[in-house]
Amino acid sequence: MTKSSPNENEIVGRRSFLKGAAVGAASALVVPATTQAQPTPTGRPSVARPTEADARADFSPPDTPSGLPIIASPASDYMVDVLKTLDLEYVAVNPGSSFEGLHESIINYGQNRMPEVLTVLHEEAGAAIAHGYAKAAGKPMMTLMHGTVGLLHASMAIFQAWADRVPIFAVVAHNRNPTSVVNRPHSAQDMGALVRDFVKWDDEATTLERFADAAMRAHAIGRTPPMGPTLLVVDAELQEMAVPDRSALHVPKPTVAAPPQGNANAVREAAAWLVDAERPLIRTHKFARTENGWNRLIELAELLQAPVDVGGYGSWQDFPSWHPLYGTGGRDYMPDVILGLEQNDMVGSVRTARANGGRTISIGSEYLFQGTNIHDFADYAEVDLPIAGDAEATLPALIDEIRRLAGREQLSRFQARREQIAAAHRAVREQELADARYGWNASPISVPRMIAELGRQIQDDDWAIVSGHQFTGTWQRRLLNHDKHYRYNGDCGGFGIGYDTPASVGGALAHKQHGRLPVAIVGDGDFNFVGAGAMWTAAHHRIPLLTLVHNNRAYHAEVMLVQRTAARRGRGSDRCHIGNVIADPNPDYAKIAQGYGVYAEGPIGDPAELAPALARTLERVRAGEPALLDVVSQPR
Amino acid sequence: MATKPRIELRRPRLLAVLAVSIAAIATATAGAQPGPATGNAERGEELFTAIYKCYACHGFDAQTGQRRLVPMNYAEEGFITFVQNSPLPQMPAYADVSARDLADVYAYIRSLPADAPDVEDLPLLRAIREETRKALAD
Repeated sequence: MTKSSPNENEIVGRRSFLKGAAVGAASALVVPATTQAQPTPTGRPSVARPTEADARADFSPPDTPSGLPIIASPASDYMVDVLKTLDLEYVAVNPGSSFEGLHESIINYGQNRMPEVLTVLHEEAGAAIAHGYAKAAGKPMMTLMHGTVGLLHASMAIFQAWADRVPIFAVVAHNRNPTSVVNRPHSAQDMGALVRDFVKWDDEATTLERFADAAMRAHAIGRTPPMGPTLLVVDAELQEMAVPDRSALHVPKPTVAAPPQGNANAVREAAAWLVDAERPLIRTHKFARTENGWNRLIELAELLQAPVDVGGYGSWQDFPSWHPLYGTGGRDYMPDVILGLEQNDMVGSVRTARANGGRTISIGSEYLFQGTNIHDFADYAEVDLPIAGDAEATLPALIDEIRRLAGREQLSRFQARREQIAAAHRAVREQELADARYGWNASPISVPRMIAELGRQIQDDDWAIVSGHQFTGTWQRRLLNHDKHYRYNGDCGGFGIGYDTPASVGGALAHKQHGRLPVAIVGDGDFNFVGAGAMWTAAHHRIPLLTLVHNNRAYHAEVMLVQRTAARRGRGSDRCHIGNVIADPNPDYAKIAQGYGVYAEGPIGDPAELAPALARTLERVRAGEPALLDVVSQPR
Repeated sequence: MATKPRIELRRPRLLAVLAVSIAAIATATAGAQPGPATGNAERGEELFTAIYKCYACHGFDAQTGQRRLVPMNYAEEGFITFVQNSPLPQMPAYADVSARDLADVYAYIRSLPADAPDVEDLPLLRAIREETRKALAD
């Protein structure tokens, strides 16, 4: 349980660099007799005080090499001027020699503001942080990567953002004319090709004018539904060019297109169907991009008195979880019109509606999607009324049209079905609480117990769950009242491990300025990808975040999948833990986090110890720092 | 464009028929009193937790996860039949696991606490229930 607390503006000098090494090595040192006579104060590293020369080496800029002219106006300064127009608060950086020009311009010329450098220990963590940040902040973050190797490291997280339809302003640099054994493999004829299958648009800037143009376009395209990551490739030499006449370069004004609305006639027809319906059902997936979308959906549901099913994996919160109209309406509620909002898979809805003799409407920007090599679109669905357009942007027109069509008689009919829907919701909640009782006092700790203990302690905070719920059986949604649009930040999008821990740091970063209390519940498998390093980023940048490691010490879903295969092949089921279990030795996640400067406790497997440990870690988070609690938990 | 093999289209119906058949066998032996367990519960625990890793889906005490195994309503014979022939996509058919092993696993499950505390006796859940009811009151 250690915690480092460096000053916010501390310069990393020789003394701070040696601090940890001196403490760590202290026990191995043979202390000379003369030193023993004058012991160093308790807690101070036993190293010699720096000389004046040491201090100068630490804190003074190097002398300018003789014979090399100062570049007073490098092109990368202009690039920073362009970037500053794009409302990019942060840029995730793991340093690379291909963008040292841009890096230097951001921190010195740009004063490390808009964007501010967020130091990351892995490019995948940087892109995942940008992913989580974008959903919580409602705008993209920049990630800056080295050619080939940095981009390939980041590619997994870029893919996840693509699958989640979330923008990232990604920039990669390389040498158009590589000259060394190092930068040749870090350069490419077509750098964007490495990730083109899962970015919405990419371009390479070979002139400064084109850099500005491409930056504006990447920003605008990424933020236009269906959203997605964009990639800008920047030449290393271009960054280093001297700009003789800065006034000749124009900094464009960024513009973002209004999101596309559905066709007005189709929206009128959809409204008529919904008004006539006896049992309408609203299904959403990645719908509420903003608080406005959340509010409009509440308005629509209450106007129609229709249940709202936000779905499971991959869906955003979209609708208050303890609202009477939340859910499917119950088993007896046979929908005759199903309205899908940004629900890319309508196959099940079509099947359900047709079984009831009903019809389906789908409003979504997925209909505007362009080509991709990734097969993340669903099977073709025979939707009766498909409407291409951003559902959030289309909802106001749909609501207006329903209000125009629905008279007193219709509104009275709508109201009559509310109680049936609310009763079904109450029954679901009661059953969930009944299920949560089981294993309540078990060790390892049950997931519902972990969530309920957490919920009790954060009930008076303005909390936000910044991780997904893929491996917690949606218990957060079931036991916590998601009554604000930012309470839940959604899943990874592409069913890939390694998103939750770093993306939670990004979500927490976005919530920091609002004073919210971010909490992540991450699997041990997820933490082991690039999550541990992201803990250092949270500590270094003072990002408050409670990370609960849902530590079940295995990839449990895979155990059963291998067992299934073994059973089909008649080869026995007793060896299927091989390759699926994270034990022997058990990783100590608290120690790992402590090593990165994060306050951490655990492993805790006794449910009686959970509440006090939560209280201690939450105290740290409320004070403005990250903390981690390793909870040894039941598999599901 | 390639089409899916016909067998893929038939699988759901085939599974449904199998499921109904096996469920019928299982429920025929199920009831409020599922009968005695003949196996060795201690050995069953070893099989449940260490050998077959049943806990990965059902929890160490068979009380958590998907799906919960307590209270166990199947009689021993029905349990063995189901596990060896499960047609469910969520649960493999462990056809290679012997009836003796499954009888031991069954005995272990039957030895576990079959019930849980009432919501009203768990302050955390009771508070959530009260808040939920308040939020959902019309």
